[in-house]
Amino acid sequence: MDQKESSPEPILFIRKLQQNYINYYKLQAATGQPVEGVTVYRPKEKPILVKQLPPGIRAQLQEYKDNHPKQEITLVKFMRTVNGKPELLIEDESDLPSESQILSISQTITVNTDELIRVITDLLIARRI
Amino acid sequence: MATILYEFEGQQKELDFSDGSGRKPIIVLLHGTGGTKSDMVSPGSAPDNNYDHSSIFPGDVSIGWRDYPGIGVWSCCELDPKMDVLSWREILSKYNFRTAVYSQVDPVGFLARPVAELVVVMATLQKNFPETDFVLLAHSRGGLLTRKFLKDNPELARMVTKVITLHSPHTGSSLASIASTVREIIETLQDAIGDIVLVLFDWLLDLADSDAYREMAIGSEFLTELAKGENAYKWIQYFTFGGTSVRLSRIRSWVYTAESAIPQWHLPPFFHERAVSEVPGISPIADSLPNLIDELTEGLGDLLTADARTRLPFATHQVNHINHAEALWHPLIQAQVLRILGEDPSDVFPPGDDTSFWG
Repeated sequence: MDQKESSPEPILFIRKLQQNYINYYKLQAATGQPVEGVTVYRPKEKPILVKQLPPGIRAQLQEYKDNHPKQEITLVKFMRTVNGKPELLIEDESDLPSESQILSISQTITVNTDELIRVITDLLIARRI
Repeated sequence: MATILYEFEGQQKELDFSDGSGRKPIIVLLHGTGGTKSDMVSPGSAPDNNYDHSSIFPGDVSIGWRDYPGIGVWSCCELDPKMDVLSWREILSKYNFRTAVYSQVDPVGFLARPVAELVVVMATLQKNFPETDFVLLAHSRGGLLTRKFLKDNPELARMVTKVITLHSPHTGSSLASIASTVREIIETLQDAIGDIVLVLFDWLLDLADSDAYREMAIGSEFLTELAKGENAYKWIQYFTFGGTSVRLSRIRSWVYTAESAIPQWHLPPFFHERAVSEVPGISPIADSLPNLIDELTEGLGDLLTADARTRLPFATHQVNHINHAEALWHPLIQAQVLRILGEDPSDVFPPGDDTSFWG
């Protein structure tokens, strides 16, 4: 019997994402310390603007909107990590959107030389209604 | 378990004897090319080719949170795990048959000395167990050894009531004629995926390059002489078995699941998991080797013999979709042999679940 890798199940991944979620704004408020040295901004302080999103994420967001013209999309959280460490965290005390409303778009860009490894990951969380 | 001593060419050798019912025949177990008595006694130890190639793969394995996305291959390559198997001696003992087994001289050489040794072994058994019926159960070249012994020793043949050969190349094997090609293919595979190929096929190379297989080449002088004037003895029932599967093992690799590349709202953002996958283009093996000869062709051969060449005109033939090594332990063929021996092996292999056919 041949067995090849199975395709990922979208709902299962979204559930994992929900289960693993940590609210870093609440964490910062509770500890009084920045998260891994990075201050967590609320969207009111640092708005998540489409025009400021990385081009790859912006393009995918636009494509999603074009394919779902009746949905209203609200940008709720944004994170940038470099080599797994946070560089920018924007979120407030609200939880992730529910599993039927969540939209996540991400991109990872790498810069590598014989002396350098930079893995830059941007993650946008939006609510779709 | 008892040891019966016999002398061959001035040396004392041992025949392992397992006790059972005195009302049943003694089964003499004869191994094949390159083998030892372990083939018939403990095939999980040697020849050690009992890969569980039809098992379901294990589920995904969690690795943990990582800074970087998990993409592509996590590790490569590994074979299917080995499975527990019952040897011919074990299954026959379970049905209260007495067995006798020994390691033949010249297991990769010409057959002349193994035949001379079998004469001594059978004479020794006759002396120890007069008035007893014997069954010769032979794997691979052991079948040719049996035929040559019977043809040249009609008096000793009188003690034999059944001959059962398992995947024996009665009319020859093409393997020796393409030994160098097989070596090239295996070396190419070794370059591609590493020494794991040698774990699988070192033994095949040794056999293809042996005097034993040269002697068993199609149309060889030995086979021509053996077949000339060979007749079935009226008091012996003959049974042959052939195999049509060339699958030995899958080549597995662990790959990151797609989810391992997707960041989550978590620091670090990537949760790695790995899943088993077959290496494309190579696995399963040897299904993926070129069909150079019938012996190596799925549906026609069992890696070392072609089913069509495991038949004898005076024998009842059965075909199973198993490979050459599996003839040493597969419950399907064990159940068929037990039925030939007059047993009801429904606890070994349920009736109606038998996928073989009579050829």
